[in-house]
Amino acid sequence: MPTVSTAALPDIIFMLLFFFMMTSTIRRHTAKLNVKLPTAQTVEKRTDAEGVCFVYIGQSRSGAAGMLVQVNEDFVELNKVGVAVTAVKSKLTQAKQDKFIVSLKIHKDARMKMVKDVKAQLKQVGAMQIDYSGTHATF
Amino acid sequence: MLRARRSIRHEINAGSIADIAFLLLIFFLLTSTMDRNYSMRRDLPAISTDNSAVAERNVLTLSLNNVDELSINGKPATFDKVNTRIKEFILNPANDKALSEKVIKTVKLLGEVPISAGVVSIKTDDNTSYSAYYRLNDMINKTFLELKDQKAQKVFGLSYGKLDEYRRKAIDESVPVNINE
Repeated sequence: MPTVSTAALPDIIFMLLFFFMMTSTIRRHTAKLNVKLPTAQTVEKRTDAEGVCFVYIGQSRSGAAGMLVQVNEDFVELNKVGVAVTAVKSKLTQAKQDKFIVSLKIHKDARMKMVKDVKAQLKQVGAMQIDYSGTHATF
Repeated sequence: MLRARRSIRHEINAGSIADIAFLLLIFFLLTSTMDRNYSMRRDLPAISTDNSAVAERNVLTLSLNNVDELSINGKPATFDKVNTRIKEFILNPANDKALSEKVIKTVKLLGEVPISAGVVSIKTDDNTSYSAYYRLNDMINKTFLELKDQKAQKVFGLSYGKLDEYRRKAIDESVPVNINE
């Protein structure tokens, strides 16, 4: 019975492997919230600085009403965001702390009350550099 | 005896390489994401956010109300007016007393240039949606990029994106992006 030669199979798999390694980025955190980002034309690709803290504002996956806040891996009360971000910052090395950025990933239907509240807290704890994540619109 | 031993060909069994590669492949598929990080950079203002210290003519107020309607300096306006209104406010070609003031400053590479002291102030209601706020910010970014591009074309004859670091810095200094919230 003639057999199919499988000698080239590892090569094919390796090729796939390299393709995925090149095109993807390592996932840092799992968003436990449903965050649909707003769209904009002037968004830029973020230079992946190491000193990043992610703040998510989104809907809970269980479908409950209202928006929740997640800082890196953990759910946080709205009024504790500043404290949580400071805790993340204090764990970094000095060099990373100097380039510390807070990346806000906010659901497009969130209300500005929450956004303003989060920003006021960030200002209070001295995290002045922020960025607003969005999806890139191409047209 | 020696000859006989040499004739035996020792080969490593390569059959399991495919399995190892598969395992690696699955590992990478699970630990990585395909989505790219795109974002808008902003620095939170270090000083107080109230505009009382700035002359009234130097502030252009863009406000969004609770149902995402825009008004510019208190009067209702549509989103497509943002671009022209900011440009008019910053450039102020006729030196209108109601539009932004120009201050002469020395900028490296450019010498003494008039720089607008205009501040774009964004006001939002608690109930404004984030997407409207994002859209407005996008428009402001776009307008300032166009203003910088215009300046770069005029001074260096190149588009802003094609400038080297030093020239870009000179343009950034002569077209400052002052956003207040």
